[in-house]
Amino acid sequence: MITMNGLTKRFGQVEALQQISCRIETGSIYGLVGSNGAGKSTLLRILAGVYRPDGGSVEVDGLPPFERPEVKGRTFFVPDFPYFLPHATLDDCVSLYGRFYPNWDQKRFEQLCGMFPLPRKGKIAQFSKGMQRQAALITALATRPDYLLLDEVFDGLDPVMRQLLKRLLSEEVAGREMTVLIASHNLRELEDLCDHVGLLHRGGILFDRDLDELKLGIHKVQAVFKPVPELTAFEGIEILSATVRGSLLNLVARGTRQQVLDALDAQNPVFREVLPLTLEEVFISEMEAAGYDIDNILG
Amino acid sequence: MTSTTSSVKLPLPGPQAVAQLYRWTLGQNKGLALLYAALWLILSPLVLLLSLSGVSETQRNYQEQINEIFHSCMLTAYTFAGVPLLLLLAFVLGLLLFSFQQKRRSVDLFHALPVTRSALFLGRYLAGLTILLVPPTAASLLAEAVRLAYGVPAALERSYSSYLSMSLQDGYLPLILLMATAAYTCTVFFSVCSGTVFDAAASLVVVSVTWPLATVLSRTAAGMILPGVDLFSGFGLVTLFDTLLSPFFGGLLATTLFRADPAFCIWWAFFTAAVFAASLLLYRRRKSESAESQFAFPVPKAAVRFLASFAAALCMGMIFLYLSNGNYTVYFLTGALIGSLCTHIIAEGVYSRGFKGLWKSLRFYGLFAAVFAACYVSVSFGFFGVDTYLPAAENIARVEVDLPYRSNNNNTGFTVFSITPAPQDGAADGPSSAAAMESQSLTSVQPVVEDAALVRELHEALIALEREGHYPYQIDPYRSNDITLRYYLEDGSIVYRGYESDGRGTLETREKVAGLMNEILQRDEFRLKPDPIFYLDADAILSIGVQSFSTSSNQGGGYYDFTLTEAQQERLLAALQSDVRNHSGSYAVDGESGRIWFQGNNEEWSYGLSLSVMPFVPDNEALLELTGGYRGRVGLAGNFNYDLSESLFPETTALLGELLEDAEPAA
Repeated sequence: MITMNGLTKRFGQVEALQQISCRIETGSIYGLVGSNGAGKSTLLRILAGVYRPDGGSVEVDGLPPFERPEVKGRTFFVPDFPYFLPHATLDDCVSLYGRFYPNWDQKRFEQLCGMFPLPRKGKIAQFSKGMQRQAALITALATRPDYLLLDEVFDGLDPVMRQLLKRLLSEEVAGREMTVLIASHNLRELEDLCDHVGLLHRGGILFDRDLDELKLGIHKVQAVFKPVPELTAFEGIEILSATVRGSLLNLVARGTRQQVLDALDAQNPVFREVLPLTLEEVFISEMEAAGYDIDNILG
Repeated sequence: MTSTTSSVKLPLPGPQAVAQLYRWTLGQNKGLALLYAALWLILSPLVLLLSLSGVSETQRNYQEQINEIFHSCMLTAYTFAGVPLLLLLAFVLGLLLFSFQQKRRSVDLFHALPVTRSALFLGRYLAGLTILLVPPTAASLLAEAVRLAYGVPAALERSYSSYLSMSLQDGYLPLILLMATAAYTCTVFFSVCSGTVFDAAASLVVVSVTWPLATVLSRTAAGMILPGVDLFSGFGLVTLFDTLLSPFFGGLLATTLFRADPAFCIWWAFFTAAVFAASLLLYRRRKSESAESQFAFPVPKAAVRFLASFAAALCMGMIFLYLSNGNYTVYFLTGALIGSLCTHIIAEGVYSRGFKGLWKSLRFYGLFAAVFAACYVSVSFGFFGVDTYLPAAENIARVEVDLPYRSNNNNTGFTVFSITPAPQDGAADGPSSAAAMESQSLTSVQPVVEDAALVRELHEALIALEREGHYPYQIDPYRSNDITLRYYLEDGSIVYRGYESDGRGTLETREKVAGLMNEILQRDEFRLKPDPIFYLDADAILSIGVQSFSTSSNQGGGYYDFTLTEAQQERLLAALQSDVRNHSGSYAVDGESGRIWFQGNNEEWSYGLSLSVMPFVPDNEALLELTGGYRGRVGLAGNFNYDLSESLFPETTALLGELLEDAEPAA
């Protein structure tokens, strides 16, 4: 389990992370979203033991990761631009990672090399961006980490590889309770993978929820009324946003599906239906409800 | 809740992590290591064997030739290729192995590895040290095997002072390995402190160049300002202090200037240990995010800029000083201001990649200017009493004095060498025959004044003269010290002082100085005892060269070479000894100009005489007494050149006039 309490990181005068407090359960896939410069990568680097926090605490299974080989040996960080040594091939990676990571699994490495179509003897530095990311993922998963930290991992991967990665991550999480933390500014990629999401903005966590709870607690409905009643007439639900176009009412409201339908039915709609909400829409609704300029936040 | 997979396995413990990192780093850099090792093998055993194989065993003096070739070849290879190669690789390796911390992407990899920073540092540091030191050690061991196989002695003594030794026993190899380690560690230190490889390399180059420059120029400038203080006599052009912060400079000079200096070795061992400890400590505290920024720690940047500004101030100050025609202080300080300010601006532009922070950085320049001004003012006011320092009489073991315009043209003593034939070849003669002769210093005589109180009195008078003349002191590039005092103290230290005989001051003080100089001049231990002419046998005068000048009493001029007869040798030696013994010159103060001058030398001189002296078996009591009765062949290394005026050298000039009567000038 990862726990952060008042975590702070400064770069000179700039406070990249401000008093972050959050808990990530073991075996979960946590999506960390936010605009560029929100502090996602900084947070991952602190968890990987690359950066030392300037304030507060961060613990992985009760231990701070900085200068703790016993924590770092169970954690693997795939940065947004993975680094490979000059002239290194996939086989060369074995001599580095196999040497230092206690759970290195050569058999798993061979399996993964078979799944990702990469030349074993090719120089990784000459690979395309997507291929380099695949190489990083092969080494990452072969170390059998308990905590996998992925920064913008879907960038550059083709749809097939994206699906393969999602499947592999899901298997690892289900099979051995690996915890995955994925930082991204692409909500759509996280939607069908994560079970938790947190929104980071200007160094602070604005929002941290269970995805199912989030999605099940907000509903988008479309209804036709003649005439459209006042919004105050819808009792028992919290309306997060509403638009009226003639007799058509579009509504995002908090509450169970049944509560929302009951509130609509009480006003005798001509027609009404519940529409699926994307994670992005859920976020936008929640953030707008909280008073944030969401367009500015998600960039 | 913890995972089911990994709880049983732990990462490598510290020592094992260091060992794994060490092995992995060696493997990663094996290409460079092999290339470097190959260069060393070519440099030392291969070239050596090729050179030695050219000598045939049937040749005369086979072993001598082998000895000479071995040591010369090793000296050339190590001095001009080996040491520079070592230092170059120390620089390259220090930057290369620690460049990972200066790139954001590589920091992500290395600092996320499950090893501590100490292990990471040590593994890479030790791997670099191995790559750096093993090839020269192996090459030297192979060269040592070659030396033993060919029966070459460990050291080769040659005629007079030349001494050649390139063997392991002589400590040559440990010294160059120490300097390579110091240079490598220093590079690692700058790498740890810097945000980019460029900044690390630039800072190291700047410190390596500007530190010796600043110290040598500081000594020069201080000597131009402070009267009496001579920071070069007895210290040499380059001292240990000039290398203190520059292992690369020290390394290049280690085998030539500092080979036998224990202080040099102790300093660099201490320096290496201290810089290593500082590097490790700083690396552990270094922030990963400082990669690609200017500096990980701000102090080195400020120190490097300060040092560069200081060196540039002195350098430009000196240039302006020699371009000036008076107003030396104004010119020097103007040059210093321009040089330092330009350097500060350039350094700021380079370090900050622009001039946005220039205005803010000027406060550091203000600090520098204040320190520089304080240094200049303190030196101008005598640098806390250095200008008036006199060794306590009870601490003085002996004093050597040198005064201007003495009877035999500034004789400053001589050395007696024993000259013995080399075991293999006794036929050759002459001190310059390197292969045939062996020499050893028997004794040396300097112009000592036994009455230290008298020298102290003269010293006090000279200090008073300087203080009266120009205090606070101003910089003067054309000061020439023609009075030298050298105190040898009981504790083994030496105090050097040098003054101008015609310094400005009151007439009373000048007369006092002249009187004291005369008193010293009349002393036998000062004037006669250190003159080699009183220890020479007449038959040692091989020949003489005479430069005749046209004077009122001597017609014509030209250069003449003479080989003297035995009788002429006797007469010339007796005439010279008589003239030197009976000299009538003395110091006086010119009433009009106020200058101290040497009376008796202020007339036309008619002959320049130089004696060519060869080794001889002593037959005079003076020399036998001096050498404790040594009756082997000896050589006298001293000054046998004379500017002869008729008033001071009447007997000698009369004899030379006689010799030249019928002689034809040499072509």
